[in-house]
Amino acid sequence: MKMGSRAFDIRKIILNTIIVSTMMILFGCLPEPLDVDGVPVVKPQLVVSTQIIPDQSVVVLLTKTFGALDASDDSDPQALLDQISVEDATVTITGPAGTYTLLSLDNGAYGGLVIPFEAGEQYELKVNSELLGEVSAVTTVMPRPTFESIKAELYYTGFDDTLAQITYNFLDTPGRNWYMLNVQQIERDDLLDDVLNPNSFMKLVDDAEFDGLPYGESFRVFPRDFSPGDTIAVSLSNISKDYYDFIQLRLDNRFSFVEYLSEPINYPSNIKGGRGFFNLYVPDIRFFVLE
Amino acid sequence: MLKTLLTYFFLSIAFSCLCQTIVFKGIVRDTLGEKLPLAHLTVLPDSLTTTTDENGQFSIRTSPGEKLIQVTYVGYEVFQQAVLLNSDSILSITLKLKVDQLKEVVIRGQRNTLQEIFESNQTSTNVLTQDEINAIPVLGGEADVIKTLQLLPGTIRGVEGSSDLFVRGGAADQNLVLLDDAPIYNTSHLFGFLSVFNVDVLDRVEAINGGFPASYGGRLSSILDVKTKSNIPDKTHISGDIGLLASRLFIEQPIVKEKASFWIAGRRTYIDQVIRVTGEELPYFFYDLNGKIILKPSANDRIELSHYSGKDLLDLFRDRNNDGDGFLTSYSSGNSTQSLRWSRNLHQNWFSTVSLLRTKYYYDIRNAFEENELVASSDIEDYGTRILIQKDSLFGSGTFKTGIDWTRHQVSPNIINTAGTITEILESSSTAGKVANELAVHFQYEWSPLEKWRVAIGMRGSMAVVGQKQYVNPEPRISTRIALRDDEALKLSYSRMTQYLHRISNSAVSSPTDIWYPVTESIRPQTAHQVALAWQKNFPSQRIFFSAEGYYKTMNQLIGYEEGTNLFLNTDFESSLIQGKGKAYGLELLLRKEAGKFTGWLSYTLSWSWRQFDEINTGQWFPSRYDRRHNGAVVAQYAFHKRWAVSMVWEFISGARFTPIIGQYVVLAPTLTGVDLLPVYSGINEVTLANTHRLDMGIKFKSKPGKKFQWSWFVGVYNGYNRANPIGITIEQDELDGSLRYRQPGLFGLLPFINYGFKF
Repeated sequence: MKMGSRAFDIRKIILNTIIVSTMMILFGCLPEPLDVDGVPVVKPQLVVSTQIIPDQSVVVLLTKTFGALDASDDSDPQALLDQISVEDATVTITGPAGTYTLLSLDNGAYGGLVIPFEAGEQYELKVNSELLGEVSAVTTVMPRPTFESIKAELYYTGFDDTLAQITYNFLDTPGRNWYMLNVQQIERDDLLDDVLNPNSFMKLVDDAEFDGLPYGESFRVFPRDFSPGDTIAVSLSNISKDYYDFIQLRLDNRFSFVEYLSEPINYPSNIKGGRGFFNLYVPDIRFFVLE
Repeated sequence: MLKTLLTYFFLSIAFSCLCQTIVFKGIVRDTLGEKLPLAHLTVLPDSLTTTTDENGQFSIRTSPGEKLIQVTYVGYEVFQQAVLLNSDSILSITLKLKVDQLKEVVIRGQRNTLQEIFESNQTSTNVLTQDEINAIPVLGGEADVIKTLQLLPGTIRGVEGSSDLFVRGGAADQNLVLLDDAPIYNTSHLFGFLSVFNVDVLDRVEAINGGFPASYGGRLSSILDVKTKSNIPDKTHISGDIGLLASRLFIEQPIVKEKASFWIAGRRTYIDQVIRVTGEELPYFFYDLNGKIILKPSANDRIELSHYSGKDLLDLFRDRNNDGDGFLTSYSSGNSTQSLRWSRNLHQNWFSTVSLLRTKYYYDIRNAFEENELVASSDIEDYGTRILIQKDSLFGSGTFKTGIDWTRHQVSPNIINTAGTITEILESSSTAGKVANELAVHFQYEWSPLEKWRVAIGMRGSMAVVGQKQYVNPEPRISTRIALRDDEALKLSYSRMTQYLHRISNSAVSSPTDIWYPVTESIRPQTAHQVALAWQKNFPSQRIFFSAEGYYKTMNQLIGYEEGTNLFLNTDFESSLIQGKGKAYGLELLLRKEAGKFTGWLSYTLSWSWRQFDEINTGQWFPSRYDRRHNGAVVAQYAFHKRWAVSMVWEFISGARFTPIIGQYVVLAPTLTGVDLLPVYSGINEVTLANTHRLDMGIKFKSKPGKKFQWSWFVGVYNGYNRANPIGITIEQDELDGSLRYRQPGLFGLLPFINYGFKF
């Protein structure tokens, strides 16, 4: 009996060894990836990004396109900005009240002026860089939406997760409008570490079904874990259709985990001769400390 | 006067005897019962000749009297038999293999498929037999129809290891794959690494890439007609194969001698069981089950009932904390087909085939974690019928075929159900189900206007009805063959094809979660025109065949997607579909030897494939993803002993096209707390990946011939020199200095295999 049992154990060991060896052979000989030749070099282009500050100032960030091998999510943000910022440009914004030339701030940022933006009016941005040429864009200032009511609280899923639940409502402006909601956790410790791809929560709302009417909903910020004492910023913005489509495209492709299995995307832009977006919208921002 | 009357009387009898003809028909088989098509039959002393059709049957009109029937077929002894024909007669003829053939290590009973191809009117056709497929070492040592087809000219493969076929510039969904007349919508297991076809059940695989007969339609680029075994054996046969990836078993059993039999075959991978022995879990497996009942109730009737079902299953539960709250992933996909085929010899040389078909493909995905759940499913189910009527010897040596095909497609494209917090980012949605009816009527007449010239002219009228929308398309077909010499022929063909069903799939690689979708009011049928010209030379005594063929194909209403379309879990894909044009042209060379100690082929294809969509690439023409300029293969088997044979495959393919990320830029994040990095892509398919080449080798050792229990060991290696065959371009970070670089990873390196086969 003992001998039979021992023989069985030996056979099992041998069998396992053969099987494990087979599996090691099967998965062990992965070939070395090949180098790549002949990839085109990206043509340097001006990139424009804008945002109105609630006190009616506007910030225009001017950068340039750079190579795919020049930076990644782990790169030092400051070093990257130093490399790509455009600081030789003349930036003007022309509206009904005249033309304003923005001041050059630091790291490719231009602004420093109070411009009386008027909702519904069109403004033209022109950028002229000695090295990268001229680009322009036109956009309309969107009316500023206001939260009629909003609250933020913690939601316990019953498992290990605690989510932030936002309940809000606002009055839609008559006419076609497109809205963007953002929720961003504000933490002093990792604010700088999270500058590249901060991965904020975004939600888009189209007013086709509630034009000119009050609208409200409740949603949970997923997938993020929150704790009591966390500070979050919730903003509501009325954006242009072009920018809505741009953000929608970004949200649609958040499931594109493997780049060579997804369709290539050239993101749309309203910058003629360049990339990026010229936006003039003023968000309603509310801060909450979650309890 | 009486003398005159008697003279007239006897003359009239003589004339009536001269005018009286009888029909002499029959079937030609070998000693194993295999039908022999294109066997040459002569009736002496009348000097009438004919050849057997694809079922080994012949029919010839002759005068009554004593005849000498002579039948020849390459590799077989000449058959001669004296017969007395006084009325319509049927004869079953059995040919014996030539004695000297038995000394060579060849596959016994193998048809002269190259002779068939050479004699046929059709261009762009390849035929594979079970033995050829079994002899070729492919991925994991598993004999595979699709992988073998990818080694023939005109057929380009996609990502390494996938079962996609890109034929003459077409997309992967433009190939109609039939298993005993029933369509198969997903031909792959193990996420594309193996096809669904169990080699043990195969009788004949015909791949038509152009010059389509009028009886085929529904796809633009190719027809892959897979027929399973249909002979009634005289005794029980059992065979099987045990390999590293999967094992299979085949059992064939007669029920009534020469009148009824059945066979059943199964295949299953046990990689999950192998991994379990090591203490790990890989809860994935696939299986195939094929079965067939063959009935011959009378000399004129034959009935075959076929079944296939196959499934891929993954059931994974990970509970890292051992608290019962783990992550559940289950995936299931599968095909199921049934076909009933009734063939009948009618009166006056008419022959009919009626087929009833059903096929279904589905997938189900379920992911659950805590209170979150995501369920996605899709399926397509067809019911259909095919009626084909054929008459040989119409108006002399002409052959007339006509028929009608009807298929009802019921499509449930995409249903996504979500529950829990995940609904915040993915809400439940579904794409409306659709019912589409496809109908086609066709006819084709083939005849010889002159002695060395044969022509086939046909028309297929096809129609699709979806809701209130109807599409009707004429599809003319023409093919012709001119015999320059007995061993040399020129062929020319033209086809128009229409496709009413499309696969919604990522352009880079297909997946089991792709969905089939019919035409709608906004999505029009895809169409193609193709012209092919071929010069062929045949060496029948050596069983060597050479073909040089050029083709030009234009395609319209091709399916594409707007930039940035993400098809993953997307139920609103229809709004993102766009339609455009394509063109493809090239030259295909094939040198093939199918008998003797040394067999195999050399193939080479030089091709171009282009696409144009108004909505992308600013409307400019661009190369398609699988525009792979050069595509060649050396496939060889050498039986240096009656028990030993070596085989090798060396394949070379120009790199596929790719659209890599070449740059980046930053924009302010909407929350103003940072900047987002966005990619800049190159022009569409602007970059060519590295060329692919790979060497596979194998050696087979068999038991002594003549033994009742036959066995064989097949040992070899896939990708013998371990070269990466790129699937795309990624950006990697160097571990030493942190710099970024482009790399082209491959999927499979050197993979050894070992298989044990048996039969008795």
